[in-house]
Amino acid sequence: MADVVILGAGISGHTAALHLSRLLGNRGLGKKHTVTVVSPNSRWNWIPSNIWVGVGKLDKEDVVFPLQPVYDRKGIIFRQAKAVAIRPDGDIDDHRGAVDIEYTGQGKAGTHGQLRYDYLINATGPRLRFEATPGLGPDGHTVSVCTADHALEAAARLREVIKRLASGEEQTLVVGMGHGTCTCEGAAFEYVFNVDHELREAGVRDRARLVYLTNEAHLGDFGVDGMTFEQQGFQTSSELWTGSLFRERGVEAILGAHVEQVDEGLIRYETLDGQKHTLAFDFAMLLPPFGGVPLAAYNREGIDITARVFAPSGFMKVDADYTAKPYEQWRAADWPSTYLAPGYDNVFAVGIAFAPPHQISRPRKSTNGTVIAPSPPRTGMPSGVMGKTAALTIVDRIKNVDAPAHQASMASMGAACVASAGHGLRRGSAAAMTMMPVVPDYVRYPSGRDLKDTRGEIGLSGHWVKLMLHYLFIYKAKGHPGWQLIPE
Amino acid sequence: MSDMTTTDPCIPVPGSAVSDQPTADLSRAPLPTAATLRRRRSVPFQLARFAVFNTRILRMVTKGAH
Repeated sequence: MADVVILGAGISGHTAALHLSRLLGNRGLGKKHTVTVVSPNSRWNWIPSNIWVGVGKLDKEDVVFPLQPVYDRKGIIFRQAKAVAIRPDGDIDDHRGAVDIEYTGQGKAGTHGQLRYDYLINATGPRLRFEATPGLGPDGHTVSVCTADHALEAAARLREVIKRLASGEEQTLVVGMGHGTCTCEGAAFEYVFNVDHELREAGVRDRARLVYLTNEAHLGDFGVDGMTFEQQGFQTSSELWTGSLFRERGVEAILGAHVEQVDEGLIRYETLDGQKHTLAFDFAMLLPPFGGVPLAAYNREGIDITARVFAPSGFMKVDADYTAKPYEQWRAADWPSTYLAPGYDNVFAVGIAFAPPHQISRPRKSTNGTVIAPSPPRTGMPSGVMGKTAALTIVDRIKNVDAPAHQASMASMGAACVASAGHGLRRGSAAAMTMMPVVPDYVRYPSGRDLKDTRGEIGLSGHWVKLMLHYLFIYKAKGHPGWQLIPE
Repeated sequence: MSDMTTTDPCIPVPGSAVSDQPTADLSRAPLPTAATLRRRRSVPFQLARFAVFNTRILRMVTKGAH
């Protein structure tokens, strides 16, 4: 009998739960083991489609669904709660690991509990650190598309702006990153071109100034150090490719920017040259930096070991090489492959919850010493693959405790990034990119990536891909028949 | 509705001298030709690209270490 506890029901945690349920159940072990998911949210959200909610093309109900019915069908125990502490060595009474939780729903909100585990997957995702920039976020002066509710608010504010534009007013719309260390540049890229599309559809684009404000030093960096593409016998860069789209659509780009503060209608930011600037705006969607979900860790005696288990950012340390070294010495091998926490053969951290060894893009500081460096993305496809990898290791180790861990390094897995640039079966568009691997490996490939699989193209088909992924991944997440045949 | 390019003279070219912000100079970024823009919207052509893109994703999934 083994008890598996998964913290978080996002892409990585939910994927892990579904695979564990399938693999343990399919092999006749289902009754012997438990799979428990702990999540403060009662609903699953296909976050990539929040972009379309944020421009009013989809409703919230199109991108979320309740978890409980899915888990009831799959024999997964659901605890609507947030984890507050882990005890990987157990305690004096019981040497099995434990998680302290605080309920947020199921009629027990505010009450505390404890879950024992044999295997733990930390898939808690990000903490949205709006507070890192004064005035940032829905409680400040900007909107966000990080959650479906945030995206609904963004859509409402965008509608107001379009009304003012239609009445003849000029408006400035800013989309981008709300801090120098943000990640998910691809999401901001998507949103800015969806906003552009909406403004054109409304016939008001000529009165709108649209600005992309980013911490990337170059367009097309996307937090992965940019990409090299091979097109028509030449090698070209994602910078040139992306710049073409910005020029074509008339979107201004401010690069290498750290937003210091947002006041009512005014963004204060610093650029890599150390200069300080202000930008007046009527609408701003700025993403927050991410941090780890706050979790304490205690050893068997109850002594706080949080600093040993978690990085200062709050993300959990795993089998990465965390030795501090300059960009020139970064290697693909620095990246984790098993996602096991050091010193524990039963504790994993996957998706955004694991602490990356360093950025992927070259880190930069302004002349004032301000860090302006995109954090590495680890969402979407890689998140799902990590969740499945941890699940496979657990299934093997339930049968044989010495079974080797499965591996899936971001330096050997590919990813697709389909950045919507407008909605509509005939009028939609997207910048569709594939990269292989996500983390460049300059030892294996001169350009860091396999040029056969690292491609970028813009067009209507990208929109179809994005739409297909929307329906496929929601189908998969609901665990409908054949869900496991859909790759992560 | 507007066309999808900055051929509309009312929309400034990013990085042009009128900007009051340190915007990137994109005046040298290549603009797509009319033929490229047509291809991006051509249903038959895009159906083929759709198939190619999905094949590439599947190849990556099978090639990746997972």
